[in-house]
Amino acid sequence: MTWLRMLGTRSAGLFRRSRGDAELDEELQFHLEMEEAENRRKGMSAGEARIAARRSFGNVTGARELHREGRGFAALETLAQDVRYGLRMMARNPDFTAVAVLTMALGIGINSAIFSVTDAVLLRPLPYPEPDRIVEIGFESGPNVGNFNARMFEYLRERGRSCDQLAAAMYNSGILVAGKHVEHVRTLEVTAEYFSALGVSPALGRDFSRQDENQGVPWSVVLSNDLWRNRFASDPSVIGTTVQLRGQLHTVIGVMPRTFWSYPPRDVWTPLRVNILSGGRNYRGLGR
Amino acid sequence: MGSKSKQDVMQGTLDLLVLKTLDSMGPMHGWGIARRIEQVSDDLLYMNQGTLYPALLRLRQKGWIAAKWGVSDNNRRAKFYALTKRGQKQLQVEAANWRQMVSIVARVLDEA
Repeated sequence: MTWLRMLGTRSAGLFRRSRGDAELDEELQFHLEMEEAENRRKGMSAGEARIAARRSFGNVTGARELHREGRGFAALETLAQDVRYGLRMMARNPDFTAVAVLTMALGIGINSAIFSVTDAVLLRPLPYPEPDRIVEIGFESGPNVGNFNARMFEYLRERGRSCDQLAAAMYNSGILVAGKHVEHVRTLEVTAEYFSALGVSPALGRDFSRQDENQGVPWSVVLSNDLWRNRFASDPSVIGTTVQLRGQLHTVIGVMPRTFWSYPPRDVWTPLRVNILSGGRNYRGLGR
Repeated sequence: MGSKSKQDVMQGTLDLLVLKTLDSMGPMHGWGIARRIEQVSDDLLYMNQGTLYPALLRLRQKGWIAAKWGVSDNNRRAKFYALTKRGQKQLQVEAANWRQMVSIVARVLDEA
């Protein structure tokens, strides 16, 4: 703990330099006077006594400098001087200071915004059970890595053996009409395995089955917890009712838990009707 | 000066001398310590008294001595130094080291 004590007296010395100097001066003054009085007692004249006292003490300024160095951090004192100088210059040029501060504020703000997204999306483990088993699946053809189309997905889903669950998803959006409420919602079209691949199930109702992917059956929809609370007043009897999405009637079959994290955020999930005839490569793959 | 010439205080021994002085004399101010060391050495030891104060600061920072303002015999305000518990332990360590050093050097010298 010696270094801690040293840090204590030294940093105290940094801020109370003048007080430390004054104390030392008083101490040295006392010393010289005592020595002088002693010399007088030995029979020296006043002048001789003073000179002899000085001589036996050695270099007063040197002792003071040594003491000051021991008391503080010389480098820190220089730093403190630089900081004071910098502040004075800033006060003298307020325009320059304002531009500099604004530039730094913007830089720091943008960086922390980017970092918070990076942290949530890339650095922290995904907020799902056994996140290390979740994989994103892309399709590589030549130099291109990209999404796959329906035919590729169907092939993988039937024959792939690397994943227990293999799901496809596609971002979309649309107008949702529920009673008097009309709003633009962010949607995600997903195959039946999507939620089980993430390891989550709805808080209310059920999630999608293969049935829901079929052409011709009534459309179904799963609501996000936010949408359910804000637009449906957290009403559990919403399950089984119908809403209109992109002009089609959809039956509400489930509500996701409040803790379910989706990135980017989504308001509703609808079944992805895998259209074998579609050649579009718009499907993102997800597996567990 | 007398027949024998005065010796400078050897590098590194000032700490030991200060600790020992405070141990046998109790709390003292800087001048008292300097006087005492010179007296005990029968004025054979020449001390540049200015070097005492940085040494006192160093010992304080190591926690071996403590400083407090008080009043001297002649009713003057003076800073008094006293040995701490840690200082007492350190004194024993340094004294043992010194004795060992002296005996080693003596043995080497006698060898010749």
